[in-house]
Amino acid sequence: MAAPKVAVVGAGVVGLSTALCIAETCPSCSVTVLSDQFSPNTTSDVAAGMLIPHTYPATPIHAQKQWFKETFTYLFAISNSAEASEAGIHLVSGWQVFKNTPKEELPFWSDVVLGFRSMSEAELQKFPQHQFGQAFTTLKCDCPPYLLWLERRLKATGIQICTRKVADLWELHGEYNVVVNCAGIGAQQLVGDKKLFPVRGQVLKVHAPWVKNFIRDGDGLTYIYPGIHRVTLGGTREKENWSLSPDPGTTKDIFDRCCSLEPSLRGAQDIKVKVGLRPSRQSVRLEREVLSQGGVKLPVVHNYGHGAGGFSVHRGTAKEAARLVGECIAALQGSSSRARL
Amino acid sequence: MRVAIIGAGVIGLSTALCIHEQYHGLVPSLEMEVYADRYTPHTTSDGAAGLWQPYLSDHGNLQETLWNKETFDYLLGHLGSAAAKEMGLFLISGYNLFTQPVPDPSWKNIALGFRNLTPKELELFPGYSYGWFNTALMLECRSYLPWLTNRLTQRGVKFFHKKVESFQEVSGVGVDVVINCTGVRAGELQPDPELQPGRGQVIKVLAPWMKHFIITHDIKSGIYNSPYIIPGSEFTVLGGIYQHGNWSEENSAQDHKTIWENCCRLLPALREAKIVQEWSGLRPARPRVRLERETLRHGHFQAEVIHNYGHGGFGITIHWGCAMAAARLFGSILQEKKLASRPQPRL
Repeated sequence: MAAPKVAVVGAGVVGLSTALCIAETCPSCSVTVLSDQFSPNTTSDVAAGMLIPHTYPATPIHAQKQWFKETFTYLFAISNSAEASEAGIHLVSGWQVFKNTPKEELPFWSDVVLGFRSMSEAELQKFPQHQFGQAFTTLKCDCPPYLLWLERRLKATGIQICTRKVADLWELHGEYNVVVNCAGIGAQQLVGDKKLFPVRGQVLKVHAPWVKNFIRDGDGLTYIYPGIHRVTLGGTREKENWSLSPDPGTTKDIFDRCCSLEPSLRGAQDIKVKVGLRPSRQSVRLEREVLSQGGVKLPVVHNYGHGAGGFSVHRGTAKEAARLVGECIAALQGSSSRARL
Repeated sequence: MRVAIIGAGVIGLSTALCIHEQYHGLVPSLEMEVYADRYTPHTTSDGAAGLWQPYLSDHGNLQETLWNKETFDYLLGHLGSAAAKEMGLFLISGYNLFTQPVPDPSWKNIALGFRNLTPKELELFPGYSYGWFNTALMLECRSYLPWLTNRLTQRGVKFFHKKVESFQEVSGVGVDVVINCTGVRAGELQPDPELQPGRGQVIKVLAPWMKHFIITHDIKSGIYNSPYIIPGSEFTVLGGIYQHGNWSEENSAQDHKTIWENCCRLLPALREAKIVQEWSGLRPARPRVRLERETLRHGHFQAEVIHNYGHGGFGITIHWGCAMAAARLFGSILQEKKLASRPQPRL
């Protein structure tokens, strides 16, 4: 096969980073990103982009930790370079506070983030409703900058990025040798995955540049994440809610919850409300599949279902997906050489 | 009773407020006036980034360490209030970096979450092998000084834009107590060879991705002569100049180069930062803060003076503790004059 043609469906953080990894591991591949939505209109753009992992119930912890570590290391190097501000990657320190001391005091990622430790009594005094807390430093990927930076990196390697709504993966057979499915919540329609469900998240993005530390309630529902220009206030976790319209009652509730963690937010200006549907699943679907129809085969690599943890594991899953693409291509080359005999 | 405060930087205005808050109720006749040749945003305080952080060593000066702690605790108490944003007050975390291990500072238990840096964190700062991480406070004077001014104005304190040339100028017109908060130019009112300018220069840039302060230390060069980066609510301050005895308030191209190159070497991403302003100021450096009473006699007039100057590069860090100490001195003056309507509160 001269130049294997790979289509990546989806241009959120998973699609773009997967395309980049494929280009890095398979320089002879011709990669095209196809999506109906691009930054600033992807699910990724709504997220704060904090590197604090979500735990997938059905993915082995060692795999999650490996993905997170890979992602953290990759972004750490960018944050430390001259490209940091262009890529939208920056370090941020803060606190995760719990109203009740959690059973598991050390999360699996505590040795990947920086300086992880329990909060002191003096630090906890700032949070009178919370009994226990953890302090650490992690990374944040601001969107759109990060996605736009990924797009520029892709274009620099010669990757094509095309606006196209793919209704069925079979559409791509004939044009492409391998299809990579990074369609996020779109995978429900695209491949009919009933294990994939939306978890609706509403957030506020506000102007409050004096907020320099993140604060997160351990229940995952209330959080304050300072970004480059805006602070993301969240949030909600509404299973099976497909509505992308902001709810005013929810806006007030989020604002009140965040102000009780950080009273100075009452002075926040220019509140913008956003909604995203986390593409949630018990485990990330990261695997090969060979679709078959009337004797024709289409190799597919799935990389979707990252739910609330997309940013935290994106690079790790992208590398794994690229590896799987390599396997698909090797299998195709093997079978084509067999066909020639 | 007339009280005149000379100087409208962070020391002058906070001392005025502290005294007025504590004694106006006890001395109904209290009339307070502020005299200054420079007001915000043209004071030395306005140029400072506003980070609460004492020097590395207190040289055994426990008094100053206590004043630093009083200031930190006072500000921490205001963090949750509605006034915090208006005051320019917020929490900030960050790094102090060294090329060799150093003893823990006097303020390690005052700041929040003080700890040593881990090896992975030190990877961020090539050339530095040791360091601290802690959470401290920012108090931006371009917000804090107007806030203090508003509180004082509400209390009926009067402000005069005037360069006071002598204590007599003020005490000779019926002022009973003069509070001397004249900072680096205190020597013009009364010679003080121990007071010297510690010239600093800073570059203000737009670098909104910066969420931590980074302060490097070079034990050989001395405090503030090593690059530092302090992100504020709008601008990030780049600095690292301390020139003892230099009275120039002009920006120096050489110092600009030093600051810019050193800070960009420390943080390459800064090269993308847009430069917005450059500023030079004179830290009122003194081996220790002058915080004491003096009785001045001039002919028939006698005035009590409370000196409160010489806070070097840590004025914001120590201001409230000093204001409280000055207020206690004021209380002792009232005691002597038997002017208080009831016994002083023990503070």
